[in-house]
Amino acid sequence: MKALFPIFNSHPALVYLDSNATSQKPQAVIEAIDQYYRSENANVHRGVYQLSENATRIFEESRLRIAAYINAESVEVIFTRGTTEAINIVAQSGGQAFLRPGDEIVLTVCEHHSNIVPWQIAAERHGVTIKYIPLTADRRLDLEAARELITAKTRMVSLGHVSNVLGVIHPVREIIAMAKAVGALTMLDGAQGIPHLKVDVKELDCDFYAFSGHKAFGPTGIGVLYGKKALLNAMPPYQGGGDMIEKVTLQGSTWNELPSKFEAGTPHIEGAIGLGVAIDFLKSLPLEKLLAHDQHLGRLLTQKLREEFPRVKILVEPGEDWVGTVTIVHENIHPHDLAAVCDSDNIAIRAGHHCAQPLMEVLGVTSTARVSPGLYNDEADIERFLAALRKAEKLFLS
Amino acid sequence: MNEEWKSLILDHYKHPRHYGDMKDFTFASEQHNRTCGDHVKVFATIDDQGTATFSFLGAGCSLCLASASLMMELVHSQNKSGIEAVRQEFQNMMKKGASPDAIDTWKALDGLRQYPVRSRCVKLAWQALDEIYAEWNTQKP
Repeated sequence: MKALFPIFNSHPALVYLDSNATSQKPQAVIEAIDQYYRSENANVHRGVYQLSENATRIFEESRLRIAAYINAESVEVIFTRGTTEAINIVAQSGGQAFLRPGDEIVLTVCEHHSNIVPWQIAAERHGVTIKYIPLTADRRLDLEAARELITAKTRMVSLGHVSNVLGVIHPVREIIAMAKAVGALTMLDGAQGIPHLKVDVKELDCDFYAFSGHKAFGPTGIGVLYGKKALLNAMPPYQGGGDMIEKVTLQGSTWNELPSKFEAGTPHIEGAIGLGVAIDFLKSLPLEKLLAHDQHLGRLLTQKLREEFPRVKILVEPGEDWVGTVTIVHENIHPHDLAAVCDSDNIAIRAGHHCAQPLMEVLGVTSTARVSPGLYNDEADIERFLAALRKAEKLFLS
Repeated sequence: MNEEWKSLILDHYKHPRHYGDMKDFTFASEQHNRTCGDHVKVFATIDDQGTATFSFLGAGCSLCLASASLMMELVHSQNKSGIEAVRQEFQNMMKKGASPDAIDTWKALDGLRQYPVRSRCVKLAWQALDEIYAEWNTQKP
């Protein structure tokens, strides 16, 4: 698998264990972007010349392939800058259309900031209250608490498909069912879901699904908002500009059809094309086997840490509902220092609060070190990380 | 980083100088690094001759605490103009690096500049010093 990712040719000694932050890019994605700029570049949806028509065709074909992959209609696939913008569209435009004073929004305590802050802004604007589903002792969502929190007052339930810090696959079907039972809308932050799980929005039956290209082998700066057509039609535009209008006069404007209504301005054309190729790449992968692979590496690391490093606290128990992410706190070594020692041995891990400060508070820590394996990692990479940890202990504990 | 400076940083991290609480201080400033939860509190007591006694408390990574400890060595027992000179030298060092004839403390701090992502860690204690210095300046002589 490593051979498909040119970064490992440039850095043969690199051990990349930060896939939850961003994935490395396969050759096919890099080539598609290169090819676009070398021989296909023109603006889309505008030109009447062949080059532009061709660029439009490749751009729109990419949308079609993404829509088919997640089992949506192509007009339900909005290109965004990423998951964050997708959630903001729903919180702002959807907030305007669907939220009324006294309503409640239900989130979870382990959300990424991008699935908290947009809702806090919307809540303040519309006089809405936010409630958070807590965790159980084994760091899984507390479904009993969720049942009490999701009530007739709930208008929106939004949660991560997979937690970026804990790597836990949330029981989204159960939560969506609870939301449907009270007539609430549902949104999934799929930033960590799409790289690991086969996503079928009809089967999930969520109203909105957001994901980023860059965590799923695609480029940065591109992502997708899936939304049910009727809901997207009921929402006002998010931004004004070119492409999103039907007719503009000095007195006012009317809006274009979906998906253009939510895509003001020249889009991230090469990003969308690259994302289409990344989705083809995902489609070609045995996702279930790869999930088992990542779980195996995460389990191996967890077990070795338990055997050899009593000063390491592991924040999540491995399970079937988990993508192999190992988040740790060392009793005596600051996460930044551990990451710096790893870096001196060409090992990339993440240290910090992982854009989830409320979760850090719930876990009773200020920052953690996170190892998130991907399909290009193997057992030797885990051994290399353990060796770096030994080195860090020697350096800081002696 | 040069091994010599690395061991100096580790030494200051493991054995921070002038570490401890201070009662009846003249000035104190606490700084937080929101990205990792690190925090440093710097205390200063100014005596009748205008000489400052410093100490600090904190929790953080090696860069954060070593930087604070190295700073203590530079500012402890200095008067206002001496502290201003140290502040200026820190600013210059962060911009241009330490001069070849600088003392080891500056060379060790210079070594920390190669971690730009962690410049906030390195600067935390210095930001506390800036606040103390500004407050000191607003006081009537």
